[in-house]
Amino acid sequence: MSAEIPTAKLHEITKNVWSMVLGFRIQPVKFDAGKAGAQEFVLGKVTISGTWQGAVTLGCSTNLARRAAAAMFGKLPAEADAGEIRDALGELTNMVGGNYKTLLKGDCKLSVPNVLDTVPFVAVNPAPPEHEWFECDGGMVLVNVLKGAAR
Amino acid sequence: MKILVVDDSRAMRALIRRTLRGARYDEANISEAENGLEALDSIRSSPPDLVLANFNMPEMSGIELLEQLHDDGVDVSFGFITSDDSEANVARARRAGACFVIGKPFSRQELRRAVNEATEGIRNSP
Repeated sequence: MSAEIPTAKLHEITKNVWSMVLGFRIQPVKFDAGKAGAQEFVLGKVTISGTWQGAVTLGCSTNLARRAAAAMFGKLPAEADAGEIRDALGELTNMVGGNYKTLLKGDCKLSVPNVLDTVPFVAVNPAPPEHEWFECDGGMVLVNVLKGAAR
Repeated sequence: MKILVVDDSRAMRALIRRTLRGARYDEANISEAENGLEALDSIRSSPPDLVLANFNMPEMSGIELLEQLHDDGVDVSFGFITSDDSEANVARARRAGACFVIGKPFSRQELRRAVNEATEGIRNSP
């Protein structure tokens, strides 16, 4: 992670979004390749341009993404379709990225979120150890801030 | 009462709609648009009492929508619900005539209070 905002603040933002929007409690954990490696992930990204340039990525394991979408749409997890899962993850990414942006100094612009469909652990980008990791009732959440243009 | 919810996220529109339904807006006619352009068409053909819009959206943003309505002389109560409630955005929203700016994530109480205040005159009118 490379940014001026303390990591603790990013943790606080992420936990707050998951708690207030979904009612889910997430806990920071150390990256564990053994645990994360067996899972697939849905990944969202927003970019920030202006005086500060970079990107905020948010992802979560597929089962948790389905539960998050269900909570946002007010339905059962089994009823959430792929489009709803993408939409929900995009909005969660938008909130984490937007809240992060408000802490930055200067004039910056937030992009609309871009969501990648399910990817295996090995395709997570930036590399998994570079993310902050959280657990949520058996599911995993990962978040990363990367400073620099052309992300 | 007619409320138009404008957000590019279906999930967020569903969340806002549920929050309003759970309050005193069970009887409100709540419609949706997924960007400012779609909202503009909707408002021109059937003006709502209140617009709840995201700030940052593709096609036409929420602030561009409000500024366009202002230029067109359309008078409608307008509130923002945005993840990007930076000082600059809040100031621009206020200048354009927004009643309120709520940051995402929002609490149910926060949204309901803001909507109640923005629609007080409408709800009390005979």
